[in-house]
Amino acid sequence: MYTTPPLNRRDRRQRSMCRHALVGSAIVASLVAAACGGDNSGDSADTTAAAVTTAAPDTSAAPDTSATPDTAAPDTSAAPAVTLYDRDPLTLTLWSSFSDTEGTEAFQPMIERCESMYPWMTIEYVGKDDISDSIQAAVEAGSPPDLIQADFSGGLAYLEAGGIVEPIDDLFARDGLSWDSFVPGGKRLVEFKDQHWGLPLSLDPVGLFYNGDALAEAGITEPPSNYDELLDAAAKLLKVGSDGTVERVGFVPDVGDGSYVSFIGYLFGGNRFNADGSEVTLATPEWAESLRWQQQFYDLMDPDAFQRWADGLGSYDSADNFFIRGDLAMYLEASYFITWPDRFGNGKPENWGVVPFPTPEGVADPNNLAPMAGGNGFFIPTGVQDREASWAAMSCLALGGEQIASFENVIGNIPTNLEALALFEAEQVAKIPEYQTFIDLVRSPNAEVSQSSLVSNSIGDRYTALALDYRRGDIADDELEDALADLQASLQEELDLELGS
Amino acid sequence: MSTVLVATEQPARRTAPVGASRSRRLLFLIGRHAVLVALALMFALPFLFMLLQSVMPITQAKTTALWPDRFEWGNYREVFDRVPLATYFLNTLKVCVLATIGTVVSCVPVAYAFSHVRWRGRTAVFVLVLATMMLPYQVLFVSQYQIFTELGWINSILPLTVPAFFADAFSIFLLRQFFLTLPTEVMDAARIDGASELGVLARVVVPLAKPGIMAVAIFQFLFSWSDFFGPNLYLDSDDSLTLAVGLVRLNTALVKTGESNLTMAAAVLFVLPILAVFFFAQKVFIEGVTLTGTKG
Amino acid sequence: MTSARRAARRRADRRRRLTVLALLSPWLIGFCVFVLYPIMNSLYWSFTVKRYGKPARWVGLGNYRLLLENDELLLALKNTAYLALIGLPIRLFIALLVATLLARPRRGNGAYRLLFYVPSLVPAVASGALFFFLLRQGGPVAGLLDLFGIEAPLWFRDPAWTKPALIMLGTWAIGDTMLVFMAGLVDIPRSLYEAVELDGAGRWARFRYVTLPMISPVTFFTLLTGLIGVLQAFDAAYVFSQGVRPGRLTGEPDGSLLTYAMLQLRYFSDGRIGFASAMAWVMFVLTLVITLVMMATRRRWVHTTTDGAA
Repeated sequence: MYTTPPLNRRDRRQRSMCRHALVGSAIVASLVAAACGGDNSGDSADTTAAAVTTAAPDTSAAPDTSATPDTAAPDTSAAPAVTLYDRDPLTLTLWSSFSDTEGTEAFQPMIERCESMYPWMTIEYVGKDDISDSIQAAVEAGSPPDLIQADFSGGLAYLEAGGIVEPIDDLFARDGLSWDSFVPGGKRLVEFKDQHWGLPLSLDPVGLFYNGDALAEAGITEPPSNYDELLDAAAKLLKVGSDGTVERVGFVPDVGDGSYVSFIGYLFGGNRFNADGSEVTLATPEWAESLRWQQQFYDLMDPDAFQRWADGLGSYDSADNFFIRGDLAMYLEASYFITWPDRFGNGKPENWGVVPFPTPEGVADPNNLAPMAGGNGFFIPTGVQDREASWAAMSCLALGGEQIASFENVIGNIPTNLEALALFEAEQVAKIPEYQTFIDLVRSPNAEVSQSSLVSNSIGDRYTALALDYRRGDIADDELEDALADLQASLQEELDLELGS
Repeated sequence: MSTVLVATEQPARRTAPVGASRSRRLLFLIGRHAVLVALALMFALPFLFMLLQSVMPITQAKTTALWPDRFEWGNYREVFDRVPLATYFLNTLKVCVLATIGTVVSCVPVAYAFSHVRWRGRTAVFVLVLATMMLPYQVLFVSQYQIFTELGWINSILPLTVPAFFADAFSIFLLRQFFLTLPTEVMDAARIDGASELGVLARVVVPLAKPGIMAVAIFQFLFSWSDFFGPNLYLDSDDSLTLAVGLVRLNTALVKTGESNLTMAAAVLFVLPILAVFFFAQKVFIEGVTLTGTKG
Repeated sequence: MTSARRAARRRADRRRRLTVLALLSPWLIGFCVFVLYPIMNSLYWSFTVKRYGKPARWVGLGNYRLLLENDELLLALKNTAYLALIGLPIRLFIALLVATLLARPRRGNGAYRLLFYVPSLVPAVASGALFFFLLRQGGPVAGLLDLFGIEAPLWFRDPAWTKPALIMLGTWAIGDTMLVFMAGLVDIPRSLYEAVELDGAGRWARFRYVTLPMISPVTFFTLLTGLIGVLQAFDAAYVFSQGVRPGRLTGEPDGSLLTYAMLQLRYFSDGRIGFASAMAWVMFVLTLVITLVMMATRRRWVHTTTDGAA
């Protein structure tokens, strides 16, 4: 009955949030080859490392507030139009997905920098949980906030099609800004239909976590760097008891929820849509091949024994986490997991590490393929009171290297602004050396967040269901291509209706 | 125990032979408590589990451990540090009280019109009331947001409280069903005595239907207490937020850090006040009825 | 004479009509101001492709035609029927049983009522975690079954077992239903019991011939709101289909937990307001039909004190 709707509704929204934030990894894409420069890593890190370590814990410290416009603006960007410094006072509302107290406080230095850079500007920070509901309602009602900051990766198509946000290329070019201030993946995060719809803040890369002790026990000296080695290692690491129960799994792409089936499709070169999101492209050899490849890992075990193993696994977000407990020796997961072994396992497993997930071509090299689980950015909604003012705030926020670094040192996402990234790197790698793998992935010229279309969630969910059907044997191997073709046709019909074609 | 039993079950004693009835009643008593204790233990489990998890160290929460290795009372302090609970508590209380008053005041007359007043088209209009419960909120909230924007109510508690004064379908339905269980004879008698419909409502129906009205009040209070969606959508400034929003925002941050012990501690803090409200409310409505002796 | 009487009656009629209007006014105003516009909007959008921020584009029955071909919606309906036909009666029965035991003011009953109500207040994150703790392989329930030499089913991974497990989880949160029944039970006039007791009726007869008929309007309420609740069920099913970590809206395993609300959320997440509205209206019509059938057959099972109302 009415029973629990109160809490239910809340949780529903929260879950949908998690779905975007965490398992958005399934929305991940890759594979548009594009080579940009953006290689200014090490040198700036050394000089600024000391400053950041002192600034980070106490973010309200003097350096931030005293920052003058000249020193605060990154030298890679030209000074914004002069008129922006001299205006009537204006209060701008910023909706942010970092809605809890910790996030709100960590954000303050970024805001203070901009308010001191533009004395007329006051930024009112408003945390919004499940920001996409709020923004849709506000835009439809014609009263949007002046600026939003959220994870809309993979959702640009719907933001664009709904006219929720507007491209910023004109202002970007006018102010002489350069994408060289950001990692290439950051640019791609806000890119759709050859336009840019916002400025990037952070990216969430994905990697292969491995249990060094388990590898050593199985006589494996190096983490796998290609698919043959991965399969070989998975077979060697598999431990089955005398009664047939699975005791340890070497590697599986996921433990039953299908969270990375799309991700692996991207690694094989599959794309869910064509470039402008008008055509569904699932009935391709790449997608079928990626499913067959994944199946090899499940076929190493008796299906029932595997199910029983999976059902006996501890809670994902606890010290009983399967990777921490050693139930799963190699684990495909997003970067935030990096702090979990310390937090939950008191450092166990002891010799864990993380490498880029291998690709079909072979080497696990961040320059080869670097798919991301998602990313955060700043966007200007359609119909704001003063687009110039919103832009001034947005460009200032997105380019505040030192302040972004201190923010992300609290939040833990990896910044896309190069100055911030260098500072972040210096601080985080000193604490957890494994961070380097993820930072390199974010720096990669191939860092990529999925393309989107107007039916992205339908595609993600239904493809996942198909993949799990295939894994269970509900779809026979020789029917796989037909099943993919059927799914593509059905989704194309939905997309055509949305697009009006 | 037995005195209570005798007091409340006098009619039975009048009809059955004393000896046989006593042993049968004893059997019933034992059976009743056996069933209740067994069931109550099962039903207490989620809350106990939540309590225990809330004082576990992070290395224990959501593992196979049932009992905390050490009691981390600091988890609660941590929640207090991260969420301005006192402010949120007062904000929530304000919304809850206003919405509850609004619901009771507005739904009682409407439910009366749908139960004990005869008029043409009553059933059809009532079906319309029911129908408004059958569309999910997702298809409605954006249009409602538009209305509240037009009214200039965004960033205030008005969207969360004013509509409550205009009778929602769920409460009308519930109240009407309670009213239907009341004997019509009493109302007809009052009408014959010349009472107006409002008089019948105020002097006959409301006193008789106190338990039902109380139930509706409890539901509205709980709904407003736990509502995340509305406050998150309509409230902007940080010091106007409610507990439910604070809790969800904390949880959203905790998902990434996996601190489920804090999630549980926050949930306990969230639930405790409404438990107290429920405990006193049910006392009032069940025991209040027999005290006034309105029935029979 | 007669015309004067007729005029008097007309005046009485008018007064009566005004009284009814006055009584209904809170709802009427609220309906017109806050409810009517959103409902009409969503009905209009269901015939369009609508995205927030952009004007709607008329597509006639386009959304509905696609829904007819939607296998997932059919699957969700089947799951819902299962949960409604098996889960709902169990919930109502237990709620009524507990309410019957606790409705009278006895010492200790207040504490019992609290205990039975508590699970409805426990947030889904907590009750979901408990269920996972209890039911996973190697957990307490599996241990208990093992004592009897029974191999524990894969509650979270075997499509045949997920719905029974979900129903068990739902049985915990009966607090609200129990409260409604309790308030209905307290309302029953003592005199009615006394009347049948004089006829020598036992406990069961009293329940069967007094309690059940007297609370039937309340039962109607719990049934209908229960049905709407099952149709819009989301959280428990979602928590359940997660197993070890959050995932997609697929209602895994094998779509056995897919519900209408999950599909709804999926389409909303894509910003497909027109399509999602069409689906909402399909479910609306379905619910309304069931409601009307229940009301039409009310005389068979609902006892009323006034004419015709149920």
